[in-house]
Amino acid sequence: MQASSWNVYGMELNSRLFIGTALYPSPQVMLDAIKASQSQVITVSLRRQTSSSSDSGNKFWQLIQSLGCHLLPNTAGCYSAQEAIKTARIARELFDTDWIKLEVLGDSYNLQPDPFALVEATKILIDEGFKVFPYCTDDLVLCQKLADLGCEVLMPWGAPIGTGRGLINPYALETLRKRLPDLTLLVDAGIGKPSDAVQAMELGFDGILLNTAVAEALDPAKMADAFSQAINAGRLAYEAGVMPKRDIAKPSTPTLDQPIWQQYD
Amino acid sequence: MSSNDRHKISVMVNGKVMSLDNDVSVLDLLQLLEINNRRYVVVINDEVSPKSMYGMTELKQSDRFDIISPISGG
Repeated sequence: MQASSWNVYGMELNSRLFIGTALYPSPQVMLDAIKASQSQVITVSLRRQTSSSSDSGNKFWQLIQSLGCHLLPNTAGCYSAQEAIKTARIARELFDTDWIKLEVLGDSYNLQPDPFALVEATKILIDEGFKVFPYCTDDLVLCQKLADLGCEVLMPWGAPIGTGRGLINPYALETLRKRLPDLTLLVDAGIGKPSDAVQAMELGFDGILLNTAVAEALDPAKMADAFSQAINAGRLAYEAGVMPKRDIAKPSTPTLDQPIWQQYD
Repeated sequence: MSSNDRHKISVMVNGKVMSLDNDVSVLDLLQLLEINNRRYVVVINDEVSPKSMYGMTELKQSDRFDIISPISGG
């Protein structure tokens, strides 16, 4: 069974997995993994060309065109609002989309988003008509501010980028889901294994964005398939309604029609 | 300075200094660089240069001219 479709800035999607295009051992492995993931949205980036990068840029563009996925450009590597805004404007021209995964980093050790610069850049980009997908921390007040600015989608981290540590603070993520029920929420970064993704989806997150966990698996295509199934399973479980936890055991087998000497034990 | 140098400008092209004629356009420079990219954006001093203006946009002394291409990203 397939979980329900969802809507991202007016675009209806079936897959709830956004997948990155970086770190794969080869272009062919990237293609196979993205196809296996069934993702409809892939993240891409942009760089100044050097004399040797012209051909690789062409090849990369041809590859991602062949996938037919929606493109979500990022502002990776930006450490100020101004830098991220400039990168977003260039990305809009380059990829012909107003979607932008807005990354403004505040610390080079754990690549933690800078919440203040993120808010500053978000405000300007929304005014310019961008559909902003902010990569943010799981801070509730920050997320509320971003929503107030007009973000329909938020992408809090599960853990720092590339760590594969899963959901470090499930309580904070659960709180976000409860306090921002109408917002589209994806966990972006830190997902290491399919069970991490299931956990986020069972909490009610709408989707997952990941890259390293698939690209650095021994078999990226197989791992992409595993994530695809896990994310669908987690969403189905959320839609089906997970039973509440109890402190006391409750028999699952009915006592009616049992032999009378067992009913009175 | 020779008379030839007076008609030259220095432009930072993709991070490297290039000496160009002072009336060189974006289109001229793209041809000079033999850019065969299928997808790129020209950025001058951090601002996107509109494609429709490539022939009319002349580069100036100390401009920063960058060709931006797609790459993989997470």
